Amino acid sequence: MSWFFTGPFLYAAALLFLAGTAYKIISISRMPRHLRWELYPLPRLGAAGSRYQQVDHGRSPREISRLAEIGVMAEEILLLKKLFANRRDLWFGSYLLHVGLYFSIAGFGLVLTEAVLVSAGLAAAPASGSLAARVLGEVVIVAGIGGSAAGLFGAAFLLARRLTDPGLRDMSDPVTFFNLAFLVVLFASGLLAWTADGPLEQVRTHMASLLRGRPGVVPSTSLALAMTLSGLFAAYLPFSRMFHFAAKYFFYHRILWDDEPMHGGTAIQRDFAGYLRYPLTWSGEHLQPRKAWSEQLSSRDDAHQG
Amino acid sequence: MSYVDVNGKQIEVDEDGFICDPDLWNEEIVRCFARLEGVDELTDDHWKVIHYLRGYYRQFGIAPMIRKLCKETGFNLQRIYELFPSGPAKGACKLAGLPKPTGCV
Amino acid sequence: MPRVPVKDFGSDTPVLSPLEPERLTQLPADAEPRAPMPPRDAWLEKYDFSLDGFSALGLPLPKTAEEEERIVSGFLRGLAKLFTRENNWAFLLPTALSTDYCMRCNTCNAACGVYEASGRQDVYRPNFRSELLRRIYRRYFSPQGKLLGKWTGAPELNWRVVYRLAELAYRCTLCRRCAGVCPVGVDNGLLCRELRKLFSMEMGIAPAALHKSGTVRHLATGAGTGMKPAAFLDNLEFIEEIIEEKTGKRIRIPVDKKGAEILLVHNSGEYLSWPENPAAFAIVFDAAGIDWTLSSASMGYEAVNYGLWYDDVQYARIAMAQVEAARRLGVKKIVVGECGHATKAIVTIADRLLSGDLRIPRESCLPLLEEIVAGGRVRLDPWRNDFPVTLHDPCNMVRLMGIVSPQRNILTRILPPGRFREMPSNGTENYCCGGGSGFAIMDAYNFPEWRNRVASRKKAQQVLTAFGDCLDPSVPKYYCAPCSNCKGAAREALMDCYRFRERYNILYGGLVELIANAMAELPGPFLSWETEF
Repeated sequence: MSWFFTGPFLYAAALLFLAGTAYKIISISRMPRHLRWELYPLPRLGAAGSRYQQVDHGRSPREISRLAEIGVMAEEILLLKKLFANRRDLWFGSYLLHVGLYFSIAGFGLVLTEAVLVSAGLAAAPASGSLAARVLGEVVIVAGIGGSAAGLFGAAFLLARRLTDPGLRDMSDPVTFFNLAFLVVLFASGLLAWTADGPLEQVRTHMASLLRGRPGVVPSTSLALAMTLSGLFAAYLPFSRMFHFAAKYFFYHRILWDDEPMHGGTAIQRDFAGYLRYPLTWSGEHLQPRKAWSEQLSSRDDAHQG
Repeated sequence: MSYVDVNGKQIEVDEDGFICDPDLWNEEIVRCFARLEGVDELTDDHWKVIHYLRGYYRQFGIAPMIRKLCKETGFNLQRIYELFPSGPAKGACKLAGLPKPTGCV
Repeated sequence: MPRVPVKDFGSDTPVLSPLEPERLTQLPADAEPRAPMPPRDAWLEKYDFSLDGFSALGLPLPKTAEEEERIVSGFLRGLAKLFTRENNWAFLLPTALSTDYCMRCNTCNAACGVYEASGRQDVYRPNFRSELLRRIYRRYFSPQGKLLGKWTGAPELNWRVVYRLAELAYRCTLCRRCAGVCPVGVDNGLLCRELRKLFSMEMGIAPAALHKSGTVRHLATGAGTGMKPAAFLDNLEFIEEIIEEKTGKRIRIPVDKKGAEILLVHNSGEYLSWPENPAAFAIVFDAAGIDWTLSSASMGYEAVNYGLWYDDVQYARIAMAQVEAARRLGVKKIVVGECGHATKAIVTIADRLLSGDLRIPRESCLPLLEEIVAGGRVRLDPWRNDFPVTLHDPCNMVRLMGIVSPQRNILTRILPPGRFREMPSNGTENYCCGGGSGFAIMDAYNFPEWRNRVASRKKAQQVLTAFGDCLDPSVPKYYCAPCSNCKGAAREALMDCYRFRERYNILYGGLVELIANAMAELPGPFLSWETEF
């Protein structure tokens, strides 16, 4: 049983995570370009923040500062700045939760990278006791314990706040509680596993066995449980609202910061010409059923009166 | 929509008491609306405002700007409020049988 | 205080969340208006007031079970269409993302002027209506939702849920202040607009002021006020007389000048209610030697586009017809006067709808006015504006277009030093005047009572704070709002309801009037501090 959950199940979970992520990102990026809906100032426009403060804004070239934009993104990703600025009472818990995730994922990434390099013959096996392997081992342990502890504390704090603050409680649907509870259990299992005896060797061995396609049995029950829960979480993640980490890119780059002007002969113009050919099926009396958008718009004289 | 009884005739008005069909307007209706608006006696000054509004509405299909109403009738805004306690739009226009001024006005 | 959980939104209490006037945030005692009027009995018999005791829409109470059923099925039909490409390509991505990725952290709550001013009454949370939309969509349209049923947290759909949600879509001014603070980027303002759209485009539910006597009349007569070209020209003539009275100089306001550099388009309400605003534009442009014109063609002299607030088709019909009027005139660019929503509607939101010969440059008047003032194109004497002035930032031009500095650069040049004072939250962090998203012109039933006391309350507080050191009526003060709708809200709420003019001697008006008032070549002041007319 344990073999199944730390073996085939983890493959399936990884596959679901990758497929789900790809599916979500592709379906979001395939949505039609919408009408403009920015929120100012736009970081990419530097100190001015908007082109509309100039006369003849369309004639001057759009100077775009990717660096300023990346700066704002980094503050958000690394520090959760908006939450800090606007909802400080939740920031600390949320920050710990996110740091916990970052650390845990970093630890996992390091072990995975190491296993890939070893199997490709590019690095010495951990058992060799090389300096690199020892340092990496220490880092992974720190990331694992630190990440799980931070995540556990953060998630538990947020769950407690949500249960006790009437405003938060009223606005939460059952899924909100489920997600936080899931995170609490996940980090708790991680902390248990990392503080048990010799998790690092077991993780390394198991990772190598998974990569070889012949998963072994994880001796530690707590580690097996943590791995199973991590697999479950990974498989659930792309289909949950916690996927906001990826959606956020679209929120900002495709909506709130998107001031891309229309230019003749470009893809954007072709796209919109296409949308205007869609038939519309809204039933409002001021609309003409099933006629294309372009026909609706050129029908001023038929506008429903009253 | 609701109705106001004017000498036995039912006149349709909107929720704010403005006439729905300005073509039905007549002096009977003015007298009736005046009572509802707290105008006890219709003086020549009232009629001057009402006739100006009515004429402008017939020509242009909307109410005139208030400043123009003042200038053309020779009454300042304060006087208009004395004549029509609900003011030029909600009072005078209603009595003159104009539809309620709407839009960003 | 009574709590209103989202799942109980359809409960059969007569009024789900009655506005509690005693909970509204405090104003100085002498500025507090009387309590809001309850709905008339005649209204209560006919219309739905069951959200908070107010009605913006006048929704007729259903009389039969079939009618109730039609309300629910219409809503569900519309909700499905909101998430389809064909019907909602214009806002599908923002709608889908804001529906799926809210983390329910309530960060948006404290940013909302309405929720805060209400004393934090649950139903006015900016995410409350979004949460209803999300849960209902999930419960009725997703496979998990069908499995989870009430465990989605969605109320069981009934006509009350639908009607209350329709009313609730008109308790938000679409200022999008909440979107600016959301750590994820979720936009409750957008979702509120999408709800309005669903109600209008599928169920024909919209405030009469916006639809029937708004966009429908706009498309039929050429202007949202119903002002036809003949009336427009008559008003212009009168405005020329006003200018002559004020300046001693007769100016010919250019109309229908083919190929002019600039087509200036005002909110047509300016001509009727604030004629000194178009007059001041004419004076300033004339003195600066601008090559400009107005249009007397239907759609060409009206900048408003109420469709922006509730209906994509009405919006696009108006935007395209407006640009078409400019194209026929052969002007080089369109400049929108002091009207926030109109500026955003035509400059940014319409951008991707306009192709071919409709790609005429479009911009706000504020940078042009800044260029005139800063470039020394008119001679200015700031001491003519020797009184305290505070500036209101219209959401549509400021947070939603980023126009922040031109109006400030103008004010510092046309006022003596020290006379300009900012409000507590300004620039892109401003608060709505309370008139946004159509509220300024929605005056049916007892809705204005709610708007003035709740939606405009934050602005009232800000203005009092900005003028805190000089509230004494012996000091005349100017509340500068470069936007027709914001001026409408100032008139209805700040002046009529809170009585700022009588109590504190605060005058309200636009920006260009202040520029004209500072013009050294005018024989006397342009602004009149006495009661007008």
